[in-house]
Amino acid sequence: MKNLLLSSLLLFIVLCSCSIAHHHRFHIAEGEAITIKPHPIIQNDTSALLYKAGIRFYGKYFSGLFLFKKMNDTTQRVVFSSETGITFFDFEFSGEQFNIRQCFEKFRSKALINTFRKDLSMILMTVIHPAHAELVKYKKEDQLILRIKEENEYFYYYTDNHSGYYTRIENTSKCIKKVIVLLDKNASGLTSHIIIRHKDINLYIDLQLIPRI
Amino acid sequence: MNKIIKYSSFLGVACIISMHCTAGGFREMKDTSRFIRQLNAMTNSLKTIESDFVQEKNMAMLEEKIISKGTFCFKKTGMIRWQYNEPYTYLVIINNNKVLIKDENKINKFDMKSNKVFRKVNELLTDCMQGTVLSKRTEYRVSFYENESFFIVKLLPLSKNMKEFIWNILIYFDKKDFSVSKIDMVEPSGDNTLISFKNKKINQPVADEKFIIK
Repeated sequence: MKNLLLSSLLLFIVLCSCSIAHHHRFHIAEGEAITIKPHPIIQNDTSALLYKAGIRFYGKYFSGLFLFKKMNDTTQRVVFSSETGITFFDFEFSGEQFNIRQCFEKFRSKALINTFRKDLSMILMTVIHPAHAELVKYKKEDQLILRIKEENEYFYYYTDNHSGYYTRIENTSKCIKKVIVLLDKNASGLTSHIIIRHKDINLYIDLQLIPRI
Repeated sequence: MNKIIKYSSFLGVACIISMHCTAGGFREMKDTSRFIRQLNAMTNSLKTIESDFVQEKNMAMLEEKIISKGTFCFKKTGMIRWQYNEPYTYLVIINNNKVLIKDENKINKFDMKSNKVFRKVNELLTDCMQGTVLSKRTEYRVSFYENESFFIVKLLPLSKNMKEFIWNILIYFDKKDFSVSKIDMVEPSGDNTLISFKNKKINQPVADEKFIIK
């Protein structure tokens, strides 16, 4: 019995340590002015960006195309379709408003829609209130990280010190890391590769930029 | 008054539908039974198809089209190979209800029965290419048109599930050999995907190796 308790405790510690957020090691960067750069996908113009998408969700694999399009200064659309052109979903983000313009039955579960909505909002930075933003540093490192607190969650936006581009986004609760987004830029400054990795559910999204359409 | 509004609306819709079908110079097909007989004869003699294709997706939200290109292969019975080469690589092989998808460097294999959406879309495209779609009258409302170059079959899906992602499908059959030249899938939003087949080779030898799922 004692051994069982001990091994359960050890297993618990091992499992938790896999996804425990280390954000208590951050400290406020004093005296730094907060500037929030535009989100990493579409910055200045309204041209669309097309990505080849691979989505793994609890053992099922979906591939297709993700289209990001800035409609105007406040509205952005994200469309996921099959390679053969069939639209799976078409979401519109307008400030804090979220509109489902089209959604295929298979994707119409509330939990799945909310997950996509949150992931995409995080990348498109649609729910950022400047009043909730602060700049932090990790341990003794120099890198400034933008931290947004929303209710019981944190969003961390990491930028490359040289280029200033976003390279990583993390969503955590107070102690658990929930989502990690990794971003790569190409020579033209466009986000060429996006990986969205969920820690709490079995969902992995890989987006590779397709040369300009 | 209500009746007048009702009939005017009905006439309006009928006019719009009729304008849509005649906009490309199409008229109602004169002899549908002859067309169906000839299409059946072609379908029965069909053994293989090899073709290049160009796919154009038109979306109201985009000024430009999304264009992709690749090759298509079919071999009786039920062996299909869709290969997208530009601007991305994507390969689908269907062989005896087994499916292989090669997506960039990832390979995914599954039974077609396990993925209903995939099965529906591929059944539709395959039935269009083989000319067997007309045997599925319970699934579609079918109407027939023609112009100088093409016979055109318009399919309106009847099932709720299908209507959700396809509003109608227009299949263009070449008048010379009854092979499919274009498939136009129109979505409920009005966006459409037009797949045009070029350099078609009908009933030429096609190696089984093209359809191997390893």
